[in-house]
Amino acid sequence: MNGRFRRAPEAMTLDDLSQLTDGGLVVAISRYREEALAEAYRRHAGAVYGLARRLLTGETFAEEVVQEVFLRLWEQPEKYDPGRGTLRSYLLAQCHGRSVDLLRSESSRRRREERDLQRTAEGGYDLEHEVWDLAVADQMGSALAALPDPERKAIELAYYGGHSYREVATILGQPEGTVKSRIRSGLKRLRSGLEAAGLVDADLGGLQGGGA
Amino acid sequence: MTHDPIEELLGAYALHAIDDDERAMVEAHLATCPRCRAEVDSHREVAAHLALTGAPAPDGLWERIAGAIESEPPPASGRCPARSAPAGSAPASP
Repeated sequence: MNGRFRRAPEAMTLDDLSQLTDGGLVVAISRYREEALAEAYRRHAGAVYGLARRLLTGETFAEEVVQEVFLRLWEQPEKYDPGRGTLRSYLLAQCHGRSVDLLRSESSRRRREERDLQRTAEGGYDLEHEVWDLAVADQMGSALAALPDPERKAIELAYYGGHSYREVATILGQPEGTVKSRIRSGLKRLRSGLEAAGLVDADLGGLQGGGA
Repeated sequence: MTHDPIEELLGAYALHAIDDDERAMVEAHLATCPRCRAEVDSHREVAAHLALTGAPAPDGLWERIAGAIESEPPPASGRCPARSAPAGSAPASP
């Protein structure tokens, strides 16, 4: 009989979907509910695409990365663990990692490094402009601006430039170990700024200190 | 053990700013260290804010994704009993 056509009990309206938490959405995706993937796309594709565009030259690459990121969510939803952060930060990290892979494999890599070195040597590499042009959200902008200069530059070159910390060290003419530490301490400082602004809650940070 | 040098790498790791050799080292460590995993998660959340403002995704991109998942059968060793077969298609018995 047709009794095993069991769509009805788990049918979800678009309204229901828009109410779902990230975790719930990913559960629905793991049940091959395409409309749940569409909802995840609706919520996060803009941010993911924005990041890919920022890192990669050419919209074709950026679109490919977005496509890969969402297909991966469809194929391996279990890779997202809601206990480890929001779906958005997971998707953005996937996007960033993939974009950086592409950047590093691009033949333009060497040229990119040379360009950044050149600009730094001329003293004209105004990282601030690059970042402000990117229109980071206001509060994040203030948190970034509040960082000590060397930390801010290291993070900007690594995150927006897609450079490894070793490359950043070359570009800035600083020891690798120093750059490595600055990226880490800068991220911690940014987090405190975001916590103070109420943009992230302190839970995950607390977990860091004294987790079981 | 080698905990401290690895800890120093966690920020760069979270930003995909390390080379493959060190990445492998960090990942081996993360597999066994919840505290360092939590630190990476925390850095990634901060990074997500660096990326915060997006651009509208281009028209047609969703349609391509939707097309790709439809033309692609669910993985054989799927995560849960496959999604319901299309209504009219009774499986042909061998």
